[in-house]
Amino acid sequence: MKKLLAIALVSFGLVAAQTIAEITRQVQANLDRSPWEATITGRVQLPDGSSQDAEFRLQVIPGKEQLARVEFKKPAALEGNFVVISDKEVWNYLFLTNQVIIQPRAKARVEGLGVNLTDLGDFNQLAERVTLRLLGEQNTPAGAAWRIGGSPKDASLGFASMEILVLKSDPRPLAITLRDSSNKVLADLSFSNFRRASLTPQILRKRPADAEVLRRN
Amino acid sequence: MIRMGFHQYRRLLHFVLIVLGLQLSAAGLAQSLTFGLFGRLPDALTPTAEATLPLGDFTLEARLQRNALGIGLASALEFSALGRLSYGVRAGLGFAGWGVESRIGGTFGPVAASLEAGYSSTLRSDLWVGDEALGGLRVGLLGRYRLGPRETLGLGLGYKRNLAGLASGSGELSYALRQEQTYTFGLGVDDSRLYALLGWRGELDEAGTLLEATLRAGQYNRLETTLTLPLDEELNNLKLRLTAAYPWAASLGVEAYRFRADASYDGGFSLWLRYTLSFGGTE
Repeated sequence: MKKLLAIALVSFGLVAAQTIAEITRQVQANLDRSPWEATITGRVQLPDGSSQDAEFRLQVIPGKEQLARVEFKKPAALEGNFVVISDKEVWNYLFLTNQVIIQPRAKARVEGLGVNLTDLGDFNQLAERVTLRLLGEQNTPAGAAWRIGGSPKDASLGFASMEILVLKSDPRPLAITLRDSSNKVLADLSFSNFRRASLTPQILRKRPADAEVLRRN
Repeated sequence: MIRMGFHQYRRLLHFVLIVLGLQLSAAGLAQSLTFGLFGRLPDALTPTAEATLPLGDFTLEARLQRNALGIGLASALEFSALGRLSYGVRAGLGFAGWGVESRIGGTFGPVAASLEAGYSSTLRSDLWVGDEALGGLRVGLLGRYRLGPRETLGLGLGYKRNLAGLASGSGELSYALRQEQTYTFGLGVDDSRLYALLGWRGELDEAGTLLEATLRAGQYNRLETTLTLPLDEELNNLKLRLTAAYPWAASLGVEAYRFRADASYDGGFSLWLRYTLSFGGTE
């Protein structure tokens, strides 16, 4: 009986593992299909401990030369700031000083607000950094969704657990919640206005022509 | 004898400059090398060289001209979209004297501020042709505060005490409103001369051509305009700068790709031509 139970548990584990791998594959394939953009809204905890309303626009060109742009709308103090991430470089634009700081991707801090937003556009990378597991399903206004839990493989990611809702009918993230080790919410963000868009590298790299360019290594 | 020693010293400095320049470029260490030629009527002529190279998290900067050299060290902490903190020191030594300066600047969320302080025992332009023709103590504070998504308050304070011991101060308060274009209004005082400030900045076309114009008018008069035209996707721009001031002074600058030319008149004519080689990394 014990043996049977053990086999059943192992089998269940394998099925669950395959399922999460399959979901990850479906999400990645869907997001890789064509350029897209989405608005991300919610609340994030800033490094000083305060909680702020947040709104970003995420634009992604998938493919071999993937390019992502995160444009800040809220908090108001950050409106106009944006980050452009390619395989090689990270551009960080600061509105207040009209500067573009360019750093190699490997050394740049992309997280900034406690969550690496580009991971949401690159599920494979997310799966590399976080151990994902399927928690179940949930109905949302957008339709049925998978509830996926995750724990970081590396403590330096800055959170202890995450939960993502993935839309089943059009596999893409709907919402993400990050918590610290005391279960306090660090970020609670939802996706809206998801749409396929004819984005080009020129559009994503758009910056004020007179911005001071600072290269750092 | 003394004069001979002076010439030998100057020749030695020439060799040091040339060798340092060659070493930096040959070793591939320099991240950028800028060679230039500066001339000022009637008889001032000097080659100039600027180099930057990485030293761990720091960037070493070197400036060389015929009769002076300068060394600087700078670094910064980056906080992604939240801001950054940069700081640096620089020292210059030449036949005319010496100078030191330091600066620290930070941007975090809605606040940006920078503080610069320096002292020079000679005119700063004797140590670096691109610097002002004033010596002594110089302290400057700049601050910006974002009142809201579209409104920014700016404050500038300056204090100078020249080599003759004469002190002067300056202050400027400005308010910028960003809509499609940015409008700036302000009031300032420069060494007891009052002026009003008006500024406009905006894109002129779909290609991103950008014009910025700032007028300070009153007892102190100065117009600064910059036209920037994007040339390609590689961050190359054509920049045209024009500055005119009364009492009469003017400068015209053109910058494209690796070239830069600056002509100016402030009682005498000068021309500075520069060419930059980049090797990646910090500029």
